[in-house]
Amino acid sequence: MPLIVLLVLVVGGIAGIAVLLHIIGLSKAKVFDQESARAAWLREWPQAPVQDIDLSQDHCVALIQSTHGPGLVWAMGADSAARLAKAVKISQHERGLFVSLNSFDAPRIKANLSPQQVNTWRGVLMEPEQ
Amino acid sequence: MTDMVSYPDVVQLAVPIFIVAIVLELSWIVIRQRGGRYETRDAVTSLIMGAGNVASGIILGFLAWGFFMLLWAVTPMDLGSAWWVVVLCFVLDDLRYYWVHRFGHRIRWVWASHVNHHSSQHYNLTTALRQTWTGTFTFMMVVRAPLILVGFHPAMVLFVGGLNLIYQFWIHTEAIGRMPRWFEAVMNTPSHHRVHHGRNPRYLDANYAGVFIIWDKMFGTFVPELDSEKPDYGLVRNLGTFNPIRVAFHEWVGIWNDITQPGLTMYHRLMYAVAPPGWSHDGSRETSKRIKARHLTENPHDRGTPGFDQAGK
Ligand SMILES: [Zn+2]
Ligand SMILES: [Zn+2]
Repeated sequence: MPLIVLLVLVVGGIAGIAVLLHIIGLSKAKVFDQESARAAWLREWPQAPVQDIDLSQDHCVALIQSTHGPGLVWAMGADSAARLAKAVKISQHERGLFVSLNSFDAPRIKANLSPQQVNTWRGVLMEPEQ
Repeated sequence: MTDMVSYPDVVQLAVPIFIVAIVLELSWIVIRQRGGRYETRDAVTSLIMGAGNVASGIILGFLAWGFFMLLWAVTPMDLGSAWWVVVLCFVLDDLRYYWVHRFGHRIRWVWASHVNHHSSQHYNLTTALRQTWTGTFTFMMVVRAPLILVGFHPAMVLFVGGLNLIYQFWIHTEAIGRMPRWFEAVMNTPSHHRVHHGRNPRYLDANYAGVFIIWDKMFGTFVPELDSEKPDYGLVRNLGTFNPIRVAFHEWVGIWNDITQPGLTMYHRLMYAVAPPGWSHDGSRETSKRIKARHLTENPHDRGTPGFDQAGK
């Protein structure tokens, strides 16, 4: 097959499928409640039971306090990811915090938080020595 | 031999079929409200990984091809190109696929490439196209060497390898429950391969087959899909990114970070590259063996059921 035909097929195919999925409403991010955030955490860290959960304003991110330390659960499209939050970097945006996990496969999470949450999340996520 | 053996690049030719089949599966799911899930960014990432796989084949394919032609030049054997030779080549190449795939899950160096295919939390036809960009660097082309040395032409070997990949496309679906009994017994099916994509402790390291499931039954890695336990798709530690570059290279970066950390012996550094995924010098991570063992400690009644042996592995 000529390369140009392959290229058009591939680019057109990907774009077409993307538009189709978006139009039929399959781009919605997962939103958590306390129970589903807990389940999403335990799905990845069954050995680290949950002690406390705090949901972001849009319910797309949750701060988890576990027996192994603080962690985050967040929406990955319709699914979830969960990581222990060790040596994170935090920066502020107008509606909350960015948390950088120092991880190539889970680089940065945007959490929309109330001003009060910004303070509590900072307190939990920053290591004591910093 | 001087006669030109020419086979079409079947994977490229199948691209239009892939696109049509994805649209059909999606329509089925939307209309029936069952039979799988789609999500935009997940699907787009899978499709871009597929496109990148084809691109890397075009760019790096000459390396494997050069290696194969070198072998072809030195071997005195030539089985010709009769139809039964092609069939035999297809079956033997599927055995080759089984072992490359098994290495892909048990040797971190090879897993670094194959992990891409398992990085989606979905299981639909786009997942089939979520393929590696870095296969050349695993050096797994050497497993094809015996086929060429016994006299299968390199072009034939690549042709049947392409057919193998195309076969595996349709089994990446939840829209099909079970195939007829005889078919499930011999062939790899959506049911068998759903197990392979499961991150459940029970389903780890099972069903490496490409086309024929008999290899798993022969080599003791077959686990049936249980109606009582739905596969939970994805990785033991799921990715927190849809960025194709990060998806393609994250495990290579992980290997690099692990082997370059200070204070390790040379043995430790080597093991971070070649031990099973999850191996760590201080035992701080879990291999699939340990995940299964932990599951059995918490669920002793599962001992001896499919995916768990009596000894607790
Ligand atoms: Zn696999
Ligand atoms: Zn697969």
